[in-house]
Amino acid sequence: MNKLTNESEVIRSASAGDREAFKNLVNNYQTGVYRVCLGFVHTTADAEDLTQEVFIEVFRSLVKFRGDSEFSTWLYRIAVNKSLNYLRVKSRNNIISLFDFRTPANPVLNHDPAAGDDSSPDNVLIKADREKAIKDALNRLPGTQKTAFVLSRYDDLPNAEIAEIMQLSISSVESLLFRAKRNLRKILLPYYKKNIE
Amino acid sequence: MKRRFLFFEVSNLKTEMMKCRIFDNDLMLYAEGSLDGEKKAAVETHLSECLDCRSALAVISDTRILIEKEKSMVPNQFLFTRIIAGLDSGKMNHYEYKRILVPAMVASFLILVAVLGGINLGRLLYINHEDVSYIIQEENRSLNDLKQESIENFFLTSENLKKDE
Repeated sequence: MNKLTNESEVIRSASAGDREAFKNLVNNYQTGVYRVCLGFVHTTADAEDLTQEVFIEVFRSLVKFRGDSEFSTWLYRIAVNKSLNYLRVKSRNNIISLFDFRTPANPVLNHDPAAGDDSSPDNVLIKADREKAIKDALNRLPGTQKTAFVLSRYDDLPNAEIAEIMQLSISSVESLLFRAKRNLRKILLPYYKKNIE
Repeated sequence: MKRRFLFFEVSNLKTEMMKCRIFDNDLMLYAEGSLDGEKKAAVETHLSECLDCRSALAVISDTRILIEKEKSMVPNQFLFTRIIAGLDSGKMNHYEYKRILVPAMVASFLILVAVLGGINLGRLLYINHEDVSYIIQEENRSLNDLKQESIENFFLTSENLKKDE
């Protein structure tokens, strides 16, 4: 109760322009928001930009926050919308990447052998290739399935909270998570079968 | 004989699929390392025989590893400073920059292509007037009577014609 009262006071102060109060909110929620954004975009630079965007929008819209839902629910909703919007813009601009002549990062050159035991260039390449396949598979999931999966796996949110963020019933969230896992497996199995055989 | 063989094959496949379904739920627990005893041994025996389940296990493990790796990342320690700087300057960040600049670049590229294409097309369709000047002169001569007959002569002739009438 005390925490809630504190948080509502902090929100009220932040919406009045108190930057110290806003700093408290950022400190409390930045890791969660960053993880959610990273779950959608998978690159640290983009996730940081998105997190910054989310908090800038939060600060500007705090006056509109009426407290009908939890602050965290409202915040995560902004983070999800920003991330989905980013992916939409990115997929629309994908054609631009055809004109991107920069050399892609070489995972073997970037690998630090001291960091792990499986440091052979082959293993590093296989690992990087698999990571890319998984990220692509995650990106191919439909928006609602991706949102439920990211909120559940990247921020360990309970299904009830995910349901509130997505404005769905708990059973719908469970169904979305089940379908997301099944689709991921369906997309990735042919790739893995080919490489494991 | 053939039918019996087919029936045997189908029932074998069904049993394999049933087995996979039974182990499907255990794969997640196996990947997490929370299976032990008989169940763990049964899963391992099945995995050694079934490529589908081996692949499914690899998918589960690798996805978990990737998620754990990304979850362990922390935001930049200067995030709040960046947020405040963004609020104060009202400047576009990298994401907004990309959102606005990239379409603008595409639009200018398309305009450039259209202009250059138009110039080249114009060059292709361009007619050298020096080469065809004699044709134009011929056409002009037939259209322009004044070059053949001056206006004074024309009126004089028309006056004479009227008088004759």
